[in-house]
Amino acid sequence: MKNSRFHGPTRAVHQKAAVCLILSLAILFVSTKTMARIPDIFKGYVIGGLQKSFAAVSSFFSRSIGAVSQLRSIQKDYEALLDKMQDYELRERDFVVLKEENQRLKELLDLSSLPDTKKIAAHVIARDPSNTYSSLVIDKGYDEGIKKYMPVIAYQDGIEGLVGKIIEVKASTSVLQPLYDQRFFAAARLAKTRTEGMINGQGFRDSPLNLLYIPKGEMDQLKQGDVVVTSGLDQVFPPEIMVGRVGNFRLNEFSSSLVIDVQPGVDLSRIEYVFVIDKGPSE
Amino acid sequence: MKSILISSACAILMLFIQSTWLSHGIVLGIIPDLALSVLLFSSFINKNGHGIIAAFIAGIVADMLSASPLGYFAFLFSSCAYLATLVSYVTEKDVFVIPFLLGTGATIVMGFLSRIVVLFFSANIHAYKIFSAEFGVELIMNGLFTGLIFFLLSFVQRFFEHSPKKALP
Repeated sequence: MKNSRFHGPTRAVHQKAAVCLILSLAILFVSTKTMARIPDIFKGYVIGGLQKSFAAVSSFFSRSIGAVSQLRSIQKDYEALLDKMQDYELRERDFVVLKEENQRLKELLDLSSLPDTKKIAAHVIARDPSNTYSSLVIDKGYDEGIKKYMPVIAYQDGIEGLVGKIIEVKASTSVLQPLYDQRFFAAARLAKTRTEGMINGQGFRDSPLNLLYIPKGEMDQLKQGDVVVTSGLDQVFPPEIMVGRVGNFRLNEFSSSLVIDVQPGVDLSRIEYVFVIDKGPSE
Repeated sequence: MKSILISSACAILMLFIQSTWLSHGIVLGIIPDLALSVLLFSSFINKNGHGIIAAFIAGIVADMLSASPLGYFAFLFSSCAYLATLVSYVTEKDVFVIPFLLGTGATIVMGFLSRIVVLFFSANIHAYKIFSAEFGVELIMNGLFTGLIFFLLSFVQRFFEHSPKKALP
């Protein structure tokens, strides 16, 4: 009886590992050069569909469980809402006055947010399964007119803020690169001083963004809370979309530019709906 | 064959769960790599290398779900599975310590290998930020969840195990 074969991995194990590793590297090599059409179709219809199904199941259960607990609080809320109603009736009058005033001012200044653009509403249905990639998956694809590199925004607490851009389009879903992704770059500027720089993510949702290439001469004028907007110089993002607000900033020794942390204007941890901006046919 | 199919199917299921139900993460927005834990379990109990093949299949699906280029996770998962298979020859499975070490060890290996991959493939490949707090959280989380997955899957271990056909008398 040969006992030696039980002491260590057999040659077959090494062979299987070698085949798998070489094959994956070969695929990686090919995929980084050109993406084959067949995997795209598979991703678009099968994977996208499965992701939607999982999101639907999750949504069904969370809504069912949530509905039971909501019933208990509805009675309390109802009474509280009656009180609030009277308050809102008063506020509504103020709102109508302000709306008319706002409309007048807009006409005067000719400042409408993102004019001549079509916005496609989409629901965030999934995230990248890994932590290295921070992409989000939305439930709209090329069937709904989504194209690669379309900018994505969201409205939250009355703020229109930048979310990211589309990096992959499938039939019924698309992959969105959020602005906190480590490979995300966008031309941005400080709204107050109009100084131009570049915004870059750090790879994690809870980490601030970095505003790069702001000259150190701006340090005296810079304040925490200053608004950062897109500049539109990259031809991808329309100008004047809010990116976030300046947090901490510092000057590194031997550097000609500041290191500025920017807190995103939109809280991406609780983002559910986004708008993909279709700027029309691009030549 | 059965062990490969069941292991890869279970890992793929975990990938879908990671990308949807766990998409908001658990701590600091970090998602535990449950698929990796399943593959480590399969590789550890299948000393014949079937876990490596399952890891390769699950990795390809992970690449399709992720924004990563095709082959990236296939390579990382296969490498970790190979490592787990080799470890299985020198130690026995216990309740917590070995699974925890496998989970953390595999995460570290993935972190370093992703750095190497970035060097050779210049396309849009992301690497783990090994010296970040988030990576530390992921490390501990993967260790703990690998322990949990090993414990849970040990009840259905026979489905994941390769069962060679018995020789005729």
